[in-house]
Parts: sequence; structure tokens; C-alpha cells
Amino acid sequence: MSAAASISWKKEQTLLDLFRQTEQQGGKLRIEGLGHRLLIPNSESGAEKYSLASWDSLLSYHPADLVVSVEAGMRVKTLNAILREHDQWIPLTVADGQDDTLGGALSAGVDGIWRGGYGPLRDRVLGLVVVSPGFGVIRAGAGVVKNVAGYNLPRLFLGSRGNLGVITQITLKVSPILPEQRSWMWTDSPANLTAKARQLISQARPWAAIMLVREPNPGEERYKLWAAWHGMAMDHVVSAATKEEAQEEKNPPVLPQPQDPSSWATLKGAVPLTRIEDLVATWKDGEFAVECQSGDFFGFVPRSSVKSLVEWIRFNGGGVRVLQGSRLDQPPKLPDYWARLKTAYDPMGILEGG
Amino acid sequence: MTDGWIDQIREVVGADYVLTDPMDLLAYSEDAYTLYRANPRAVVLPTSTDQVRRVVSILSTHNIPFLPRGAGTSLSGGATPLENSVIIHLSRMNRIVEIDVNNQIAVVEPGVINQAITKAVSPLGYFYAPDPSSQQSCTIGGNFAENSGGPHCLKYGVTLNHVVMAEVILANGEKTILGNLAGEPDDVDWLGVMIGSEGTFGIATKLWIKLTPRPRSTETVLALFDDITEASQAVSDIVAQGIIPAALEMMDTLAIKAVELGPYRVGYPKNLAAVLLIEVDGEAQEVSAMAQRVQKVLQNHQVREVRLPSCDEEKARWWANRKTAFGAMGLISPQYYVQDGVIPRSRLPEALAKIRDIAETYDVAIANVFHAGDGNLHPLLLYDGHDSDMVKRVVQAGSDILSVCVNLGGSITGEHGVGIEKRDDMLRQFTAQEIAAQEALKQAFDPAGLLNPGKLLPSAPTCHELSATPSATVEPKRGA
Repeated sequence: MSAAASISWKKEQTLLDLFRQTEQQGGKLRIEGLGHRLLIPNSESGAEKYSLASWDSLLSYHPADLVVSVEAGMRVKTLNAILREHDQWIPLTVADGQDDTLGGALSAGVDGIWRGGYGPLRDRVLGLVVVSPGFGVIRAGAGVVKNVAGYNLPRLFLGSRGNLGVITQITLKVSPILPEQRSWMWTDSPANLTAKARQLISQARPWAAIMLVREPNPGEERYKLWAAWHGMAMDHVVSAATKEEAQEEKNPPVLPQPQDPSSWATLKGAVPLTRIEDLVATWKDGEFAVECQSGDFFGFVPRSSVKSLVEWIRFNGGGVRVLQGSRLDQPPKLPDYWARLKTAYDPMGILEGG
Repeated sequence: MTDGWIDQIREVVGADYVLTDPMDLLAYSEDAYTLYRANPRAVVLPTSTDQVRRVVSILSTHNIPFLPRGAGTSLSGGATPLENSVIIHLSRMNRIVEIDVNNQIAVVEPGVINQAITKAVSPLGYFYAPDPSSQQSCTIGGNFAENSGGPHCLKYGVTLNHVVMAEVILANGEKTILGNLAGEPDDVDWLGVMIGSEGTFGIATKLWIKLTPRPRSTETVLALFDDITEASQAVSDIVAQGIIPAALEMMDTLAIKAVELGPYRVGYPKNLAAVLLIEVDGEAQEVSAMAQRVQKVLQNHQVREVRLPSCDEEKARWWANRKTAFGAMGLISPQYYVQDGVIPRSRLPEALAKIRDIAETYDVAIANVFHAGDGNLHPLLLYDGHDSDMVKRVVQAGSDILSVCVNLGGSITGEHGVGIEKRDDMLRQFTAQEIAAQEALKQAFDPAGLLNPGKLLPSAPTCHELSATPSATVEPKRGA
């Protein structure tokens, strides 16, 4: 008998009941967290909405193992407040400063400003509990930091927006909060700031984050570079950072939401390291942030520019997803294996990706 | 009777590169998991992506099962051909195509040896991080199929974390590109799904892998213990202190005895209970601070002696001593069976105690050499293959060890894969529904079930069915 056979999934049963109702009514169902990362707003969707934001319990936490399990509605800031008591954290700060539920962030494929120093969020996911119409409640992955038993099912549900199943529980690898932390800010031209970033990387690595940001500034573009070091020692970094004029700045810059969200879209992705400066030059309108060690970016773009920017990014070897605000006019053709998976996991097609 | 398909394949790769002689096929009848053997129907050695694509198309059209093979170092039978499959041996596709330092990426063919990548990029200040103990012979294509790890994956991650893009031939012969140079999925992370699928979803013909900047400083600490429980608690405490070592390896008394008989002797004192090999790396000041913290933790756990290497040669010898530990078992036992299970790191003392109990229960000698930092156990069960009763006891003891791992909240495999070996053990870890969800994924990529059949899922043919296949034999064999 497997370890899961005796677990009763009371809350998950609610979702299974909801699936049945939706199927009987011939409708669609859309699961969301806080609703920050919906591709199109609920007002434009005909699907029934169900929020998991109240499914926010801490399920287990083993500080010595650096592993935590939570319900999908747990907010990142709430979890980090718990982890902080043991000098640990989940390094996820999205450039727009919004708090996310972990289920929502993973389902939408969100990542944050710490990717260069701490790796992608998806690499922290050790295990999931997922509810799907086709297979009921299933556990994907395991609760340990190393595991190759069976197929890597968790990867199916990260970034697939609940189209195959609903993430209800998440087991994550957490990081220690390192004792020496300091951060600086520079304001200059993009060329000078990317040169500065390269200089910082050449003198010490990895930085927790080196983020180039274009901020709103009517009439003139303004760029900032924010670099943060998290480590066990500091002196070598301080000398590298302060060789040129630097201002200490504890908090990372936050991208403000567009004033008229209906005409803007949010993009999230990454470009190869050699394309970072080109991305900065190509992103004509809107605020954005790009992490200089990983090429990871997040930002806002007018809906009319989404298609051309997405095409540019993909042509230049990057990956990008529209996080919010717009469906692509011509989304990439889905592979055959996607259609077969969708049929198996959601046979009646009731799940509408958020 | 081949319905002409073998001639079609000869036309694609050349007659010299299609093996059908029984003596040639015998060499492909097993991999490093030596408990089962099964002859392939044929072995094909392509030299390009296009050849692989055309060969797969022919096999698919004729409904003939097939599987990729690298160096055949799989410890779970991943490269053993079941169901009379054709082996597509990728050893001739062994070029490092490009080294792109600016993007910190290397483009390699699947037959490139793991360690050759680090050798090639080392002068440029980089290395390829996943370092399985077989890295001198295993191929990057095999690493891709098995999601291989190694001692340094504690800090740097496994193969999954180091491949950003792959050219893959799917089961129907279609060529596809998964991922991109930035390592950022556009939607579902299909590349992440493919890595570790044990060659059952597709055949990688070109890989774009991350190069990691070589750390400026490294410190290695060797800690000698009189008490294995103290040693394993020290492992947990080091990580709990916020230190993520590059590697944190452990050997117990029996393992130490074996490696000290081998070519890379460290000169351990007699009657040691355990040894920890700890490596920290990074910027020089960071490394110094971490090494001091590590030593403080060790002192809190009654360490008998802490050694720092006097020179690079000594450090290299410590690592060679550890990395050749599996082979050294041959110096103390006719055969050995290596298990691979994972437990939460903090349960290490409990797990090792239970393994000792299992050894006593079945009267089997068990040496422990493992990646302690991530709780990845490698108990080595020693046996004599001529003693059939002992073989049975070893198999049962191995099975009980996996139960211990699952019951402690762990996994039946951390890096060796499921393959043939652990198909039935999947049911220890997963429910029938969870297995069905995995079968659906296999069906999605390979509806005809032609790619590496009989692996990974418990619904695959059992060993009993295997023995009915005319060309297949199932027999205990000498250990690797």
C-alpha cells in the first residue's frame, strides 16, 4: 500500500464535487488565487469562478530539511513571515511588488527578481497535490530534495494555468536567510548600467539579484540598477560595489501598475545573456525589470505591442509568456501530445485556464 | 523476418553500423544493472540527427520497439532492451558542437562523455556541474534520459537544472525543439517533463547545457567520526545552520574498509564509524566563513578528527577515494547490489539504524556510501551470486530498505531511476490513480508504446513475461 492510500482529501473532495456539477451543467470552471495573474479578467470569461485563496494553511515545515508544505492559497509574504522565525525564506519577490498565492504564482508561471541568485521558482517545487477531473486527487513528485521516481509530473502543472488540473498543495525547498546582506542602487544610462552589472559579476558571484529597471519618468526614460548581495561575508563585495558612486538602497525598486490596465499586458520571461541590452533597446514602451545574471524579465507593454515583442524575444532565443491582460492573436500551435494530455486529464474539457 | 526494415535502416546509416550478429548483440544485453539481460533485435549506430530521425521513422512505421543507449551505465536497467527492441546507440554522435561562453552554454551531441564537457570548458573558467560517479564514462544523453545527479548536485542541482534546450526525436520520428537558450518555458515546461523520462518519451539528439562559472575558491573538509549517529546528525546540523555545501558525502565503516583496499588510499585510522567529505565553494571570504562554521558544527558532534588538505593532490585523492567506492566493493565481496533511495535529511540517523536492523535480519553485509547532504542513500548489499539463498535475502533486504525510505517520507530513487529494477516498487510510492496519471503522460508522447517499452511503469511487462521472449534471458549475474 502506498503512503497516500490512507490520506483523506476532504478539501479536495470539494473540487471533485465542483467538477461533477460543472460537467452536469455543461459549463466551464476557472480556479484562481488572488486573481492577480489572470490572462483575461473574469468579466470576459464565461466560466464559473472558484477561489482557493482561503486554502492557506501551513501543512508541515521541517526547518532542518529546508522543506515546507502549504496549501495553494498560502500567500508568499505570509509564508515568509513563518519561515523567517527560522532564518529561512522562499526567494520570490515579483517585480511589480504584488503578493501572490503560491498556487497562483506556480500555475501562472510567475518568477521573481531573485532568479539570478537563487534559481527559478519552479526548481524549488518538490511535490504537488493536484486535483484533475480525469484522475481525481494525485500527488506529483515527493517531499524530498532529490527524487526521480516516475515521470516529472509537477512540471506539467507549473505554468499551465490550471488547464490540466488544480494545484491544491505544494511542497517547496526553502533557502536559509544568509547573515550578510547589503544592496545598492545606481542611476545612469542603460549602457553604463549593464556595464556596471558586468563589472559587479566579474568581481563577485553570484549576487542575490542585479536588476536593471526602467521606471516611469514623464518625458524622459530613467534607468536604475539595483544590486543585492546575500552571503556569509561582505568585505570583498562592498569594495566592488562602492568603487563607483553608489547609493545604499535596501528595498528593490517596484514597478507601478499601469494606470489604465485595460490597454496594457504583463509579460514575463527570459532572454539569453547576450540579448539583455537588445531587449532594453527593443522594449519601446512601458516599465520593466531585467535581472542581469539570468536574463529574467518582467514588465508591462501596450497590448498593441505584445505580438511584436513576443516574436522578437522568441526569435532571439528567449522564452516569454503573457502573464496578464491579453491572449496572443495567434498563440503558438499546441503539440499533439498536449491535446492527448488534455483529453486524459480533463476529458470533458471543463477546466478553463485562468 | 524483417519485412525489409533492416535493409532500409542499413541504407540510412550504412551496413557497417547495423549490428545483428548474436555475438555483437550480446554486448548490448544489459547495462550496469546486471540482474537482468535481454538481447536486442538489432543495434543501430547513427551519426546525425537526420539519421536518428529516419531510423525512428522506419521503426515506427513497422511498429518495432526501440530505445536509445549511451554508455550503458544505467544502474536500473534503463538501457537494457526489453520486448525485442532495437537499440539506437548514440556513441558516434559525440561532438561538442559549440561553446558559447558569452551565454554560458555548450551545445553537445548526446554521445559526449559527461567529464569531457568539463575538460573542454575548464580552461575558459567553467565547468558542467552534474557529476555522477560514472562521469568518466557516462554520456550526456544518458544523463538527460535519467536526470542524473552526483555529489555536487546538493548545491548545483541535477541535470534538469542544467539543460536549457534540447533537440528531440519523438516516437513517430518527428523532430522537435524543447526549451530555448534562456531556459525559460513559453508555456508548459515540456523540456522539464522530457528530462528524466528514461528514454520513453523521445531521443535527445542535441543538447544545450548550462556552463557554470568555476568558483574562485574551494575548501574541502574531511571529518572522521567514532559514532555514525553523531556523523549523520552533523550532516543535518550543517545544512540547518544555513550552509549549503557544494557536496556533503558520507561513508560508513564497511565502505571505509573497502576504499582503503583500493588504489586511492587516504590512510584512515582503523575502527572509524564514519567519514564525512564536505566541500564548500564560492568567493574566498565566503568559503573561509563557511568552512569555519562547518568545523564548529563538527566539533559539536564529537568528531574525532578534522582534516584539511595540505595540497590539491591530497584533495583529489580524497575525492577519488570516495568516487571509486562502489568499485572498491569488489575487493571485499564477490558481488554487490547498490540501492538508491531518498529520505528527508533530518531522518538520516533513524534511516541508518533501520538499515542496520535490516542487515541483521537478513544476515547481509551492507556498506553505506552516499550523498548525505540531500538524504540520497546508496546502501551497497554485499553477496555471493553462487549462494541462491543469499541472493534472495539481498533482494528482500533491498526491498525493505525502499520501504524504510517511503515510510520516512522519501522516495524509492534519487538518481538511479526506476528502469526495470523498480517498476513494481513504484506502487510503494504512488497510488493506482497516480500511476494512471503517469501512464497518460507516456501515452501522450508515445501512443503506440514503442519507445523503451517495459520501463518505469509497473503496468509494463513483468520479469515473468520477459522470460517468455525468445531472445531474452533473465538470470542473476555478477555485480558491476
